Amino acid sequence: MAKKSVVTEAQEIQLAIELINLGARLQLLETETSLSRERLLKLYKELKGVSPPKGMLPFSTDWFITWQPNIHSSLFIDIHKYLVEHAGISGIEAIMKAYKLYLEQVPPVVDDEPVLSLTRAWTLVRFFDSKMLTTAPCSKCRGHFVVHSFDLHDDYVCGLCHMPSRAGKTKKSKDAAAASVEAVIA
Amino acid sequence: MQAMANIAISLFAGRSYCAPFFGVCDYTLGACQTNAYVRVVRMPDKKYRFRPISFVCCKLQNLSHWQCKYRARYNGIKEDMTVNDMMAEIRDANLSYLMLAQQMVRSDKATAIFRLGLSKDIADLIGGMSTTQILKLAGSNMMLARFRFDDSAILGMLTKNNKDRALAQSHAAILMAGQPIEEIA
Repeated sequence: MAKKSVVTEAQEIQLAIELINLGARLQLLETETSLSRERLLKLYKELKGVSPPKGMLPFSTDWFITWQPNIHSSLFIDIHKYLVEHAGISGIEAIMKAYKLYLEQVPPVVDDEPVLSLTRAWTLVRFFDSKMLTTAPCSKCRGHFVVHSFDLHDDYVCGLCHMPSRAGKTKKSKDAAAASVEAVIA
Repeated sequence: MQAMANIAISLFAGRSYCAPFFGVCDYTLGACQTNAYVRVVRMPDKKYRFRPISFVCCKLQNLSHWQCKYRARYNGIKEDMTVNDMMAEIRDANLSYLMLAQQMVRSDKATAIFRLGLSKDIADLIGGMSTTQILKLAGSNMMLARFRFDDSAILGMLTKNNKDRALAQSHAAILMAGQPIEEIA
């Protein structure tokens, strides 16, 4: 076995800290760093104050196809692809930078989690690597959007060019709108 | 006639150095199609200067002389000052753009490449430029940075008002991130 390098370990801990702060789950950390599970657990508890969520990671590709997640994941994967192609970075570094840029692009909602979590983003990239998902150009705006690899998408129209009639009209958004109206009246 | 008399009186009461003289203020000619007046004044250095009589402008069309002047500028009257101003603004924009780009590239190259929409070679070049080089490059009278959307159909779609602002922004970001290489390289 290769001799353990202190410098490498320090770098890995630094990486793990950044990932945890961005909201990574333990499975992601275990895959992307070579730190032991115990150390990662300790690190997680120290940073977040709670033990990491247990259970399996979300594994469905269908989540990325539904309307709102599709927009967010398309944005993330386009940024990721851009960074890999033009900036020449790869692996977890590309995912982290793309995720930070994605967070900048979607206006942050106060005390609300981003639609696409880092763990989901990482899963998305793995789905792309395993060719379960791919991008298809929208026939109207020519933007690239996440689709299933084996679907037909000759005349694909994205969710932004052709909005579903009830898109974005969730209970939460309705409550928020009502709250803002009340604030104006009051 | 009464108005003219009033003006003449007030001019004499003013601090002109010699007898005033009425002419036409050329700034206003193109702008509002109404003549305003200037007076010729001899300055202490024995030179003659044209002085606008702004209240004439005001009385005739509720505008000050300076309002007339700026209207003339923005109505597209050819004036050397405007072109020079524009060139200066372009050089300014070039300089701020280059300085910002260099700062971004130096602090985080990968992120800057995405944010600025550059290729890696150009980012390397900008990051390695010296201040003299930047000043030299920014001194050109042509705009260095270019619009990122070339397709008028897409731009029109994005600026239409039927969409939520946040959604339109994400759409624009998706389109920009997905631009083919040949468009940005």
